Amino acid sequence: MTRAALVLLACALALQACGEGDSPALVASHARVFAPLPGRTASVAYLDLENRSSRSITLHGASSPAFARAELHETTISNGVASMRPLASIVVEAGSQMQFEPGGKHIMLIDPLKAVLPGASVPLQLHYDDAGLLALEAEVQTRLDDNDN
Amino acid sequence: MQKHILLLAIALLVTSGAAVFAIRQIGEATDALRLATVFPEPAALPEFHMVDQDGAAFTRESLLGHTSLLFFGFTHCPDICPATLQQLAFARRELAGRRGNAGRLPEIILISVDPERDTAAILKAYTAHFGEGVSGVSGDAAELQKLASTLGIYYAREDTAGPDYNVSHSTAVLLINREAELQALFTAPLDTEALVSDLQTLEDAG
Repeated sequence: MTRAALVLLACALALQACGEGDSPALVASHARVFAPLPGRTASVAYLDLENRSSRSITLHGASSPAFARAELHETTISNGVASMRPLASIVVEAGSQMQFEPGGKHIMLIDPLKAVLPGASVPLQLHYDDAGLLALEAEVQTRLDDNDN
Repeated sequence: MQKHILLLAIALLVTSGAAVFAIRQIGEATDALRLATVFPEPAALPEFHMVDQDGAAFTRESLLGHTSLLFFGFTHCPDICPATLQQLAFARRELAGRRGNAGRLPEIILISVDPERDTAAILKAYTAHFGEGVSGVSGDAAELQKLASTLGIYYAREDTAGPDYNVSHSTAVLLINREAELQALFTAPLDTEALVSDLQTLEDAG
């Protein structure tokens, strides 16, 4: 390859990386987590996700320093019957929005490592693609709060 | 004799007039409902024997004299169960804030489909976090099955070993009237505003 072609290729690659890196591909909002209920070691987090990129993004896990484990889960309601299952991955299509909400997809948080207090926030990480990490803060709510369903 | 016939005729007229009025009220109420499915003939509950969160007997008689919202779930459920109880409790608070509803609020009852893990003590601590008017019931598996099947409620423990299992269950919320009869049901997803509206409508028509 000629030197000029190599330079052009390098520039093209640099522009593409800049284009992707200028604004985040995956954005989260309205993240909330419920304080664990008495006697229960599992809690749940919900959020809104937006994939602002031109390619699909695959979530494959979650984590939080406030909990020993975090897992992607989904409740499905079929013929009026609810059941829940863990999800190995979730694909967020290019340019789409996805809600993690009661009765649907959610993040299950297991075994709190520190107090999860109403009014505080809990750090959460969503892991996606090869090494993608979306760090966010989820507001701690209680079941006495006016819900937004 | 003629006086007795006249009195009887007047009594019949008044009674039938009242019945027509009541039917029309219920008919108008049904038209105004947004979420509830009302049973044309409320269905009597069977006799059953379970235990409430204070360890006292919970039977059909426990449901007499007040309305109740029954939800079949379990305390290890992280998503749909607490979300539903939160909505029901919120609806109850909304109704409580309206004039004229004192003494007419529904009791919200979580009936556990996981009696192995949900003891009375666990239910009591759990339901306390949803606010006033929320309590839990557990009990013998056969009694649970009898009550659930009469109410058309399905539940099944998932087939996994170990202590961390889930239980699939119907999401329906059942409205029981003051005569301990199944009057109406609400299906998921519950719209809280519609739920409040329907509960008020049904209470006013009742």
